[in-house]
Amino acid sequence: MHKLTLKKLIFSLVTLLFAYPLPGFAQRSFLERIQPDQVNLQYAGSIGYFSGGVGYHFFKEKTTLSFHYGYVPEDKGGWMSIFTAKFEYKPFAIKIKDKFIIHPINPVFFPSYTSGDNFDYQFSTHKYRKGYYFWSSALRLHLGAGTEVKILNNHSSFFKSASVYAEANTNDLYAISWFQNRTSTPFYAMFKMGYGVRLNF
Amino acid sequence: MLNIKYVILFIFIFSLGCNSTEYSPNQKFNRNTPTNVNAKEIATLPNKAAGSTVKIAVSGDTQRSYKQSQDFVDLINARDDIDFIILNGDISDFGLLLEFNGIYEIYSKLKKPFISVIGNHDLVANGADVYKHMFGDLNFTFNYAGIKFICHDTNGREYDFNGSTPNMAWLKSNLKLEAGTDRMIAFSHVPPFDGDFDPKLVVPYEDLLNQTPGMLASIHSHQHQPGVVLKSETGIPFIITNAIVKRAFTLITITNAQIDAQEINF
Repeated sequence: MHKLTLKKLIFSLVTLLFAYPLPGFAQRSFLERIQPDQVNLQYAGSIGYFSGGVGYHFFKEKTTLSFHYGYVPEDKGGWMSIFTAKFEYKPFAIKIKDKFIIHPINPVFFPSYTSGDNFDYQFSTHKYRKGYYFWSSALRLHLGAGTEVKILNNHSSFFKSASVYAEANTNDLYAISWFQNRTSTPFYAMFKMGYGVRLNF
Repeated sequence: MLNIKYVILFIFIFSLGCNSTEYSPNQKFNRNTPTNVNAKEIATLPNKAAGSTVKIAVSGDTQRSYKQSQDFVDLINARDDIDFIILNGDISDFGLLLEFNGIYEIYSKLKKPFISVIGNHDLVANGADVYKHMFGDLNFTFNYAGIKFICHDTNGREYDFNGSTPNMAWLKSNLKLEAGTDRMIAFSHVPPFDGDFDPKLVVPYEDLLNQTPGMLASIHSHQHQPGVVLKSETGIPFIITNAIVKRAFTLITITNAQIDAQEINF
């Protein structure tokens, strides 16, 4: 990727977080401000053999933005390091007494970035003429849907709830391939599964 | 009771993907990936007397054309005069395991052995590792009916034209007849007069092939154009096939050291 731009971005984000305690807002410390609403551990799902992340809820927990780091060990088809940002929307919530909430279908969008020598945000313009390979090898855009069961805990406890979920996703390149073969390849064939747990604070 | 329904639905969705977990689209292999396919396919070639007529169906560039690939396999399976099939590079488009697997699933239904050569698209991202794990070495040889087949990587642009590809040292040591062989034929994806071939190696490569005793022809793909045969007055023919994505293959017939190339559209 444009390493300089990335560094600049990280630098400005960090500066912003530290510089933020303006008079009147000083009662919340830096650590409190970045404390996540959720921690997550996921198996597979195209973003690592295992991946871990933190998430923040918006709009009364209807939307979650989360950041994940995943890895694939060599004996599982790697080595790879994958960075992912997920946007998940939970349009439906079915409450079962005070014990469970089922989110039957949660649309999810997540860009993932694979780091390593074999991957580039853009194919080298020195090696290839423009448009020789039109896609990015490092950046994948995933689209999918999850289904989640949330087990509610006591309101006063440290963890307010715990969830288990399954998530099916496809990505830009799989979708292009499926579209070209849509009369012969079944729609579900381009979806890949992942499973995970979440703890909500 | 309504809730039970949702729980059942949830369990159903959960179990849907039991066999389709994925760690990354760039994974080099998964637990179902076949290994050493080229060696296994070569091992199934029957013994055929040297000098017999040999018919080979060659085409490259299956890429993401699963329908065309399936039609090609059906067509080849409907006739029994073909000895084996060569998939001459660009098995995949994006160098992804899913694509290599998809083409393998289709080609493995061929009744005759198929041998796969590396193409430039197969070297993108983790593609080279996917190919090595699934098919084997990028440069390899095998013998059939008294002919030595030399399959190799000519995708110079993927190595930034660094002089490594094609591997001239490997070619020099392998372009030698072995016991029981009296002719040779080379297969590789990018032809030497293509812009994606390492410009520094064009002349040495052509000279080496032209001057190797027993060399019948060099067969390439890559260009997605109607097949051509190019031949200098003294040299060997360079045969370029069309592509599976263009619904075409070239039928190579070798009889008594004569080589004939016929393009077939389907």
